[in-house]
Amino acid sequence: MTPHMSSYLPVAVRVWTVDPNRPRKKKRHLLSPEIRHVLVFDTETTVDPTQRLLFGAFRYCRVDQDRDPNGFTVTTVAEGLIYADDLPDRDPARYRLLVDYAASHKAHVDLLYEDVEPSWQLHLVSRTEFARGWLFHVGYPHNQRRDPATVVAFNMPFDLSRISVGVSDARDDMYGGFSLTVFGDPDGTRDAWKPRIAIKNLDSKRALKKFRRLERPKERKELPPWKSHAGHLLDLRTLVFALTGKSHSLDTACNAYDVPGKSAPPAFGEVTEDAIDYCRQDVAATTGLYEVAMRDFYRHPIRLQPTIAYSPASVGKAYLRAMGVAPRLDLDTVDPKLLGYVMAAFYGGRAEVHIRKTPLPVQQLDFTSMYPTVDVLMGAWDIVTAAKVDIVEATGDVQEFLDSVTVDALYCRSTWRRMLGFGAIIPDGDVVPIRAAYRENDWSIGVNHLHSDRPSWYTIPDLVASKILTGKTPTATQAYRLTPSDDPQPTLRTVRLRGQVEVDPAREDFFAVVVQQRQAAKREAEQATDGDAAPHFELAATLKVLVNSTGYGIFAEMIRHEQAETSRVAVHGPGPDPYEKPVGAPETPGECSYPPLAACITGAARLMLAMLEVAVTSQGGSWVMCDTDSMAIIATQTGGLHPCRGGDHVTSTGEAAVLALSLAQVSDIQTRFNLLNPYDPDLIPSVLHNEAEGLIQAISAKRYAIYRPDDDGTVQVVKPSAHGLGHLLDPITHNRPRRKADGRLIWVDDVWEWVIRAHENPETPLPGWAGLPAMARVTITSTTTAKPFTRWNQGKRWADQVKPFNFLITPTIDPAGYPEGVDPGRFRLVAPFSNDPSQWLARDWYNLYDPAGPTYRITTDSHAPQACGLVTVKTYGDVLRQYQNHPEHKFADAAGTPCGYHTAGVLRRRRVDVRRIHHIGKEANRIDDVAAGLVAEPGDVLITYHQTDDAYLRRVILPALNHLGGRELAKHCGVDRRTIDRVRAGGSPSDRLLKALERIVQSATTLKPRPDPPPPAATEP
Amino acid sequence: MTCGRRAEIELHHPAGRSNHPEIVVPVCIRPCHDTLTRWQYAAGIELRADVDVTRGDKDRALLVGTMHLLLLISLRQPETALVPGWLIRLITRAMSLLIDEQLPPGRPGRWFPDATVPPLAVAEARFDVETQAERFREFALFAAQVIPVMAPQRTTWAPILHALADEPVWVIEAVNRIAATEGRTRDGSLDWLRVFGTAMHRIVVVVLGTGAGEERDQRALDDAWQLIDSVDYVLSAHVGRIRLDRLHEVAARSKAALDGEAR
Repeated sequence: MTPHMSSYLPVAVRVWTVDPNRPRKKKRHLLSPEIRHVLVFDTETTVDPTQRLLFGAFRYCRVDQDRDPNGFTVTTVAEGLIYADDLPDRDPARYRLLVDYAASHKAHVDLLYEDVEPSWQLHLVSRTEFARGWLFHVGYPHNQRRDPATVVAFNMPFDLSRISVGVSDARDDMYGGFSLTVFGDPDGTRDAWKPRIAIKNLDSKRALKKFRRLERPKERKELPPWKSHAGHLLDLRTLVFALTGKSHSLDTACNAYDVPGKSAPPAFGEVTEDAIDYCRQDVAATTGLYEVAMRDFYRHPIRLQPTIAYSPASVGKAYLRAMGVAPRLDLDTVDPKLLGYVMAAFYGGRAEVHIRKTPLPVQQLDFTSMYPTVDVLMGAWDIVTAAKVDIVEATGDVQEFLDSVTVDALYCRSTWRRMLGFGAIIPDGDVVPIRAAYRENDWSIGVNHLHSDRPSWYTIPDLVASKILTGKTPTATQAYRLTPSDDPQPTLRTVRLRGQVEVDPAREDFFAVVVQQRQAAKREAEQATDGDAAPHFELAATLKVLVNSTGYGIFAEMIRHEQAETSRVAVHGPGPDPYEKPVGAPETPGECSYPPLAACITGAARLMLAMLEVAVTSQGGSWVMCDTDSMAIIATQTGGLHPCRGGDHVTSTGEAAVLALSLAQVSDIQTRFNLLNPYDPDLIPSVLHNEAEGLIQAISAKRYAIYRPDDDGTVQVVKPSAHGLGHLLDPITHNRPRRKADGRLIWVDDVWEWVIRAHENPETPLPGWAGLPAMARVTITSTTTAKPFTRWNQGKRWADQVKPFNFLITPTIDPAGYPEGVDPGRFRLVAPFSNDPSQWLARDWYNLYDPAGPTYRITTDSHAPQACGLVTVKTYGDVLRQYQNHPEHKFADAAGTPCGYHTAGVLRRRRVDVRRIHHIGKEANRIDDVAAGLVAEPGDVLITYHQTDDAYLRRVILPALNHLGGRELAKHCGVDRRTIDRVRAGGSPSDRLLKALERIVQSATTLKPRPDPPPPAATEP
Repeated sequence: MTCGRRAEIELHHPAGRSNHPEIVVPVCIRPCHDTLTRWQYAAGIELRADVDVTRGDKDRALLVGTMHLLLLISLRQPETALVPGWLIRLITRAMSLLIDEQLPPGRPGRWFPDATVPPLAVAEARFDVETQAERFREFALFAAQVIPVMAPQRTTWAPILHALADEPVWVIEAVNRIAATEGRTRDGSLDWLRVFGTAMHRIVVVVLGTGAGEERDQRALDDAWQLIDSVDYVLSAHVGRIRLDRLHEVAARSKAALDGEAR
């Protein structure tokens, strides 16, 4: 069958790159000497766009610790307030209030502490005095003080930016971040012999922070560089994330650790006694949280500096080191060509919606610890701990395995031991994961039918999944297996996880032990009395974080290095020949990175889902959605048909329908999967457990909700997804509860309740807050996102500038709502951050690109008369209406048309023909910036190395243009004749030219593909 | 005076040169003078000459500096210390805080402790008898300088202290004999120090332990001052009249006995 033009899609595969300037080095994990003192601080700011410093508070504490983690104590020995340098002149009344407050209050210090002399005075210092007399004096080594303190704040980048007096772009290893002048005069003059502080944001929870190397004075350039000291800058938000695996605010973190938290918030942006009390309490809460978080941290017997514990993966990697496990890439010499192949086979989890916009009864099943479970099944721990792992060519062996493997065999655990490997196929309708632009500039991964005349690499589990989904055995043209040696690494040693759970890495499977011990701890917590349950819960939570972090992510870690100049890297892609490419952000593998294992783990998880899909469909049943480790199966107590557009069955009334399995059938499926249970059945009775039950409404991948209808016509949302809503601010008024008892956001439940009811009755009124303007939060986290503010800041004093890490809010402007005469491309409204929706409409708004221009008002009334400075913005209601129709682009409807806004019912897999293969690197973790519209250049988030494979051009586009002469074609495309001739002669066109050619073909009445060449005539032997 | 070293001695101003330039003690340059100076910084004593400091803060500096000497002696010889170092440290802090609160809050040159000064480890030191005697003499002379400033009404102290300074060896011998003949430890024999220690500990608890940052009630402060008066009474009564008499008596007998043995 000749493919339709719409099936030709750009496809992307990951590649392996080698940067000769960044050779892999063994990491040294040095620990600083014991740190005996801490400086904790917090700042309060104005609520205008500049968010300038008003005042702040700090505590200086002594740390005492012994071998017992509970012996880690933090004692406050000095406390003080900070005021903005310009406050006495700018606002003498507010300054006076601070002076009076400091004189009439005593510091909250422990006067009985013996090692140093606690100060009973509540200090009051200016920003400059704080920077020099406290932050530098205790936080940076100098002649009078050789042992620098740990500097602690919650969300430190924001606070450091408040107390700085200037900023420039950071260089070298912190390129892309900010270099803050903290030690300097209020006019921005930097102090000699004091360092800058560089901050590079990684994501909303993490940032690299360090003191920069001291610069030599210009007249002393002949001196060798000064010794640098990165400092001990600890963002408590990051440490808490590393320990709990969750993103916390100060308040929720205090709740999680049972520390007295914040006091009731006062009016922000004012200096009042209440505001000062509030700020001091914030610092007290931060200090208390630091103490308990560090106790928690020191329970782990690992060598890791708390200031560089950036994520649970940092803790996980430190445990591997503690067990004596050497990184795989340090032990083995792996041909980069093979790593290129396996990177091309690397895809993330599978997330799909199969039946859309059709409420159906489902039972959602969830695989217990999916990634660790497939790790245990495949023997991933042997790969991690073996003295040597060879990647050996095994094309025949793999093909034999693919030929022989059956669905039944997959329920045998020993089969999974043969899954560690990867192979190339010439895809001919095989159902495999495809990373494609299913819609313009919208890359996502869908498991679809792939057609290509070039080899495509997939892991063995993916090839097996394709076989059981299609019934067609893929033909491997080349394949490799991972073969671990029998002897383990000689350095392995036993470790006690969190000081409690002993693991012998040479004899036990780490993943199995952790998963089982977690269940054991959970069970003990449930059986314990109230007072005794907490330690078991804590252990269970820690083990969960640990197994999740070590089960997959650390093997897939790639580090993207932003840099000012390009590097020429060797790119190893799916083809056998590497090529060189200059890139601005080369990437290197993480410490424990081992792509062959990472690719197989996610492949095995997709195979599990494929097995579940086959188990359901083989009984005539169907499913609504799946997401990495779970699947919602249509099921009722007794089973039966349910009308559904595009379904494979027909009801007695002739309607298309899907078949619901009975709960007994679902239970049988679960029982069968239990054959794969690698754990102690007493602790983990099932690897496929019930997650939720009820009706489901699914829109697209990861956008679904399970609910139960009530008799009164309302619905009770059981499990909502917040995907696609995360960038929006909570529209519920800030003085009302925003979360339910189980922590779910109330407004997300409201969204789904409306989506579900509106499906039945389109007249269903929107939630009460739907008339509010849809608002997103913007944080200025990098030099790229700061660019739009350059004009704003021009010529202004530092205090009046929009500074790094400022929070702003931005509405979504209605396309028809721009004021007259403005360029929509350079019109983006921002206002100071406020989470109080009642204030949003009443605010003055500024155009980001025209800071000196007028202020604007916003309205949500699209019929409002045009007025000067009035901008119509979208409401939450508008966003909801779009949300409920968001298409599942990667699938098609029953007729084969790509899913659109109004497509409903069963979706089918699409045919994908490779239009072009893009070689890509790791996508930068800048989702927030992209959502907020602050990233204009795609290259800022995605490295595209090379584009190859022009089958689409040769087979579809050029044949359709045969009737046009080169000169005419060049004229239409806006290029010269020679370029067209070069492309026709086999040259590769630019993206722009390809699109131009495509447009010409589309404008033609018919598409005339070049006929396939006749088969060669049979010749007699 | 504090460690027994005889080389590299210099004079230390316990209250700071700008506060009470006339009061000095001989200590070794390193580490004792360094340590005492570091403690002065930690206590916050205003040491700059160009700052206008009130008389109250100057005397407060002298009190704190004196206590630092006692503290250093106590830490250098913990086995023979009559009052443990930690208690001296807390007493010093409590006295400094109490005096600070008695003085006007907005006065010039008011000083506070500096918590950022890192703590110093103090090593123990052994004294031979001769050095011990010299130390005793120096301390008696130092006390003779301090008392007219701190307690001008205690006129009886000066001759006693000078007498102690004249014949320190015999006083040490007397103390040792009292301990030996009465079969008790030195702490036990000098029970007034128990009273002193207990009372001071109560002061520390009242002044420092009543909740950091909270306003102490006037009654607790009055109690503290009363305790200080009690200690003062105990010191005056026991040391001034009874114990020193007894010391002199035993010292005289010891001297006579030793002279006889020598003959």
